[in-house]
Amino acid sequence: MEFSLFDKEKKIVEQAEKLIAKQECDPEEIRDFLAVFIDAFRRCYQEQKCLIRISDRLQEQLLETKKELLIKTDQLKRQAKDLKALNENFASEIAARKRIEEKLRIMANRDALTKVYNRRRFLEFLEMEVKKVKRTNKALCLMILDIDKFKNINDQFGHAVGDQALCHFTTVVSSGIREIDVFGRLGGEEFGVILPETSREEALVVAERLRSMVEKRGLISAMGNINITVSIGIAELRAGESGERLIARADAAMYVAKQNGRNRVEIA
Amino acid sequence: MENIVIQPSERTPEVNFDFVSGRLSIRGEAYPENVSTFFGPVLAALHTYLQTKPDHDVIMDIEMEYFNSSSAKALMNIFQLMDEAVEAGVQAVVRWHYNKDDDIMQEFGEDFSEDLRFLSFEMVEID
Repeated sequence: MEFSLFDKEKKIVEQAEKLIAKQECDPEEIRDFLAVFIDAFRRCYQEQKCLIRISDRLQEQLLETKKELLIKTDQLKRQAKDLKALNENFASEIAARKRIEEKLRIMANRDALTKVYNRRRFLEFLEMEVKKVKRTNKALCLMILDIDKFKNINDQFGHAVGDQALCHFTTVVSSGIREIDVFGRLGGEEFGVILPETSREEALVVAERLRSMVEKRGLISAMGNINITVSIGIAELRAGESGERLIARADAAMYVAKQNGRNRVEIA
Repeated sequence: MENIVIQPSERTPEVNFDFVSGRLSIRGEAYPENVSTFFGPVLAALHTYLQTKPDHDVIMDIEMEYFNSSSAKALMNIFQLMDEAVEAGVQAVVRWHYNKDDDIMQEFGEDFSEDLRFLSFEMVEID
């Protein structure tokens, strides 16, 4: 027989129904049953009271828990918001720091005035390119460019115009070389261009073009138009030669160009 | 009579009815999927046991952490059986254990005890 939580209650109801169905009732029997019925009813009512109290208490607790959860959720939302703001601050701080680092990196590697590579970085590039040639056996040329009579510009127009002339010169040269070429300031008015994968014949063409560009595009300054010319020396890397030696030969070629009247290209 | 030993599950309490010694206990949480299936056999066995009018003391320890409404009705049926047994001459006591911080379980125990006429219902605070 299947068990039910309300077996007793059901039994009393069945008894009552049987009694009512009877044709004739003994008043004694009815009185006896009523006593049992009232007893059961009283218990039922007490149990109901108890259950309602229990349910109410549980519901109350549920409501409290719900309210606490809502408050907690609110707090969490606020915390999440704060964290997000913190994160954003952090991200923008990181971005700012990256920008500063990038600036520092550029400052460490570039010439402050002309923004082309400084001597230190240029020599590093040269070492790298020389090493690369050992692997690839490709041609490598180096140009040394020296602005002619630069001291005269400084003396005649002042250092501000001298600086302008240097910047103008680097702009012109930059526009005449390839992306893979490395352009750097070696000091004063002396510059270098590394030409990877370039033969001496090709380098000669490039140098002549640069010389001509510099000559044609004079500096337009507040002090008037100033003609600028450049003397260029070229050297091609020899087998087993060091970067230092290569510079020395290109430099020597550049001095030859100076001696031969300036505004010209000489090849070592 | 065979003892009843039911291991606790997520929704049902541990039940340990040792009918030889008269030590009966229900501990844990009670919100079974089907209250009749879980408490039916327990109630039936208790009923049979109490009908034998055991001549030793019957001690029932109840320690609930949570129970739902139908489990509350099942507990009331158990207490009713015990109450009737005491009326019929059996020596029995129910000990309602509740955690000292658990006001709700304390109140529920007090509510249950109000309905009993013969059975002694002891409140036992646990630290």
